[in-house]
Amino acid sequence: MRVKPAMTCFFFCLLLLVSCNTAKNSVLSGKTLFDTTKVSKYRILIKAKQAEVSGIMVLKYINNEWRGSLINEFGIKAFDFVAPQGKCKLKNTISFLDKWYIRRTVESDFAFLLWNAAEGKAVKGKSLEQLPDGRFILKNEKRNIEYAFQFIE
Amino acid sequence: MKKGLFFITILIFSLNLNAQKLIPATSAQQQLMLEKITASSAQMKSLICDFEQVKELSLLNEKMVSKGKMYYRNDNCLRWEYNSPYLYTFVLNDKKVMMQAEAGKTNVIDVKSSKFFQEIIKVMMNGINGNGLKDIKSFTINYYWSENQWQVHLIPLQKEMKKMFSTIQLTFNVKDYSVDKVEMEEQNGDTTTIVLSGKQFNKAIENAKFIIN
Repeated sequence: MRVKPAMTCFFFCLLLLVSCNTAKNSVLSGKTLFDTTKVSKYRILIKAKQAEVSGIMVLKYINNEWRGSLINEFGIKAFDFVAPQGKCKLKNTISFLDKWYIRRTVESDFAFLLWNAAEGKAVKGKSLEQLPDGRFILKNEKRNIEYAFQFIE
Repeated sequence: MKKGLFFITILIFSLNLNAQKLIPATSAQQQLMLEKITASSAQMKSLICDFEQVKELSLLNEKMVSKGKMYYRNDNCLRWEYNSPYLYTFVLNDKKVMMQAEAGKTNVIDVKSSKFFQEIIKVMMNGINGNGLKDIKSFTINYYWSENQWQVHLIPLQKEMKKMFSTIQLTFNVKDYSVDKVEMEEQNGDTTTIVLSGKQFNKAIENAKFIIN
């Protein structure tokens, strides 16, 4: 059976539309995850190669940028971050995390979480998915790091 | 007459304020504080209390408030249980530490494996039992006195603690000479304040509270 060129083109466009839509749905919107109108607190569990660390992330949207702090349950701060459009910069990093390669990785991951995902942009090597229990997981596949977030209040 | 009464009231009020104001302790006052606190802590076999922890986040201009219950036993056992707004349990049993962030996820650490952990635990235990006042190798210790409360400021000397904290302030009540409040000022400008309440001294605490799985 010969398929007419017009039909081929039509089906190709349809396929393209469906795949684009699927790609957008596979990347969650940061703006639907994080409330820009109030301070939010999340339980965070970070899994790296041989380490697992838990803590609390406090997040606030001020003057068109995200600001946050990552602290442990005792209140000891790991770092602050300031994330203007598309970017993220760590500040006041605790000494044992204050290495350029750690800061760069975390800044890149958080910029993706707060901005790229919000605009529906997929980034190679990073993913964000929501679990049935309401938690969402940010993965840095290249570095094999996973951040799990659970809303507290 | 009324004017006289007014001025007397002001005088009494200002005297009362002075009594509440903390001033650097004299040598004699320091000695008394050390004796009373040390004697009180020596008699403390256990302590059960509630706590409220307030973390002030300077960058966000926000506070994070968490609450829980503490169990301390003088055989080097401590249980620190957060129950609001998150569940988290920290157990120290002699040389091992267990941290449980949620059901089924537990980390167990040998305290000896980490100098940083050793320092943190020393601060926690010495803050509760008042032994921090004798640790002149780890801290510069400054005493402050008022009629209603005593305060001791610990300034870290050890490298790891110094990186994190600029000062740790212990506030003692002058009735039973136990710690009422711990304030930790971080080098980055944040402050964590822990207030202890509902204290029960020398009650039996079951071993199950300090089991490390």
